[in-house]
Amino acid sequence: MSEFVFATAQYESGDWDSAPLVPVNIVDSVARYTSIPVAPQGVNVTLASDDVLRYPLLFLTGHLPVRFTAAERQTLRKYLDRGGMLFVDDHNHDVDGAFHKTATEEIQGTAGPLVKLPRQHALYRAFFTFPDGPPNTSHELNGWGDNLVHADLLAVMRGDRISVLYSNKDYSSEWSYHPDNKRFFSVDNTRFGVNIVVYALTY
Amino acid sequence: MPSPTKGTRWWVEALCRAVAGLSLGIMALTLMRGGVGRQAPLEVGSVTLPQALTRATQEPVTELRLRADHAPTSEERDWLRALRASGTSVSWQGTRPLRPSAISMEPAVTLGGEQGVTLLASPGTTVVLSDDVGRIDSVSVGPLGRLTLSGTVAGEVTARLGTGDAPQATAQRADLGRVLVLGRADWESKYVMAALEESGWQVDARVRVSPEVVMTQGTPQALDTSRYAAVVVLDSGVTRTTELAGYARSGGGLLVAGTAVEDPSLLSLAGGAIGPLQRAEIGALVSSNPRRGLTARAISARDPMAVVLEARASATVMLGRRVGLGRVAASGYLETWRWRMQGGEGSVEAHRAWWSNAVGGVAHVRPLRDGGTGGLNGAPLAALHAVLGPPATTSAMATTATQVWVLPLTFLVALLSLLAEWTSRRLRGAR
Repeated sequence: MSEFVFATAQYESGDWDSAPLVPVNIVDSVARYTSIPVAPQGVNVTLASDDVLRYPLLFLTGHLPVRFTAAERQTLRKYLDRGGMLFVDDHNHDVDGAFHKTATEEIQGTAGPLVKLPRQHALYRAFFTFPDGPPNTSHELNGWGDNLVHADLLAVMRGDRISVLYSNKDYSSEWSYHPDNKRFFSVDNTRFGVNIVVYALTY
Repeated sequence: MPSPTKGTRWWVEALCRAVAGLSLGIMALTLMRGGVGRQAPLEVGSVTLPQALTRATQEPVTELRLRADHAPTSEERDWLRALRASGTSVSWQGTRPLRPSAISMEPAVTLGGEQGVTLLASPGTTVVLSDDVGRIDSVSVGPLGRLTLSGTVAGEVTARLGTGDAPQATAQRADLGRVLVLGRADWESKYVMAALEESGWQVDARVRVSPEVVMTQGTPQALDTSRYAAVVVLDSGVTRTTELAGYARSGGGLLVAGTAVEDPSLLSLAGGAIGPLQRAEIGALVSSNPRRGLTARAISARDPMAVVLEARASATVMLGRRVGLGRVAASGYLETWRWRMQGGEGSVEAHRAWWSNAVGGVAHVRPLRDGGTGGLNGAPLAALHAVLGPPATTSAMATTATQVWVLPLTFLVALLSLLAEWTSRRLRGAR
């Protein structure tokens, strides 16, 4: 039986490994709340390699500008055409920052236009229910004192299905802690990560 | 007083008496066998059969003998059966050896979820296809005796072997129900559903995410052939075995695949038992036989009527059988999603087509129009045997004909013999 493996995309241009604790935290949550078999460790997979095809959900994050190589674009296009899903999260909390500008440009050039994901989308009730859309992160609300809240996620759609999910809400920071520290939270803030995994596995 | 010498005349008279007695005996025997009033049998050929049937209906005939140079049509066959049931003795014989031939056709789901027909006939046979508008094409049946066709047709499709009264079959456009997928939250369920939807199937789904949470797609309802053409079970945690068996028996199509083949009770629905694991061949996913690159669970057939649908090396990896009115198949391939994602060029389309075909092979197909088969005559010689029995032997036919003349002939012989005996006695002065 195939188990879910959390895969992080390793790309050439930026700091792809800026959130090493995210995989283990999300894996912990998926195992905690669902009966989905999960591999205990995530994997890092080279974006330019056909190895990405072994992992139908791919996580990509960073702080620095993103510029895909030709091979990365070709592989990513092939990956998405075959039904893979890419989750991209800006590890910065800013507006029109370097990562956001370049990553969205690369995504739209490779996969298609990014559109605002409606708050009624199935992603927001794939497992837990988020009636107000994507949950805000602590960094958005008061982390930098700027109260910059990015209200919605963006997505490249293929029919009704999300092909690329783009977030600039900085979930990479929000989920970058050891899962053992969940006990200090009144509400587990990784629940939306569970929704992303369950959505990828069921839609 | 001494007896007179027995001369030649006496012996002649005795002979006449013996012949008369014998003739009377034969007459008595014939009468006991019901030969009185026997009409001459109505002998007809294939060409004159329609008129003879009309005559035999309007003026009851005791016996009708068909000397056929080809099998009668379904209407003629039904008419002969009705005559026999009303008391007419019906027998038949071929004027030459009648070659058995048969054709069958049924609605089918073809690649891409299109509707078509599956044609079964002797390998190498040429079949003429036509629809309500007219002739479509002539096709040749391959070595397996099976041909699947899809395309745009008007109304019913008719397939005929040759011309005239040759075997023919008809098939109506089919109404495809939905497919219900019972799975768990994993890549296999996701990509099976995707493949079927991309093929044009309408998919409902119940996907188990946790003990308390089930994701549903569409409006999953009770298993009923009025709604579902097929059910695909991908999760070994599905415990609705009795319900699934009942659905299949009532005509539904059931495909057990994914981890569900590792559940003995689910696999037994397809007449199989769990066999050893077949390792994936490294690199085969991008080859011309990509399914060799998948890990597979071998399936051993427990039902002798089960049919091997796919094999790998010496192991069965796909098995199917009829259960009641329905069909159940089991696929031992595990993680077919890898074929789609990691396969070579065209893997998405190939994966999609394979799954659509697998489901289409078991799917319950409802004809759009009810009603008769409109001249179905798929196996006319076999049907003739079924209705009238085997052909009568030549001697039986001859005996029947002879019986008609027995009574008058024996009567005449007896009469002449007695007359000759009386005349002889009178002429010699005896009383």
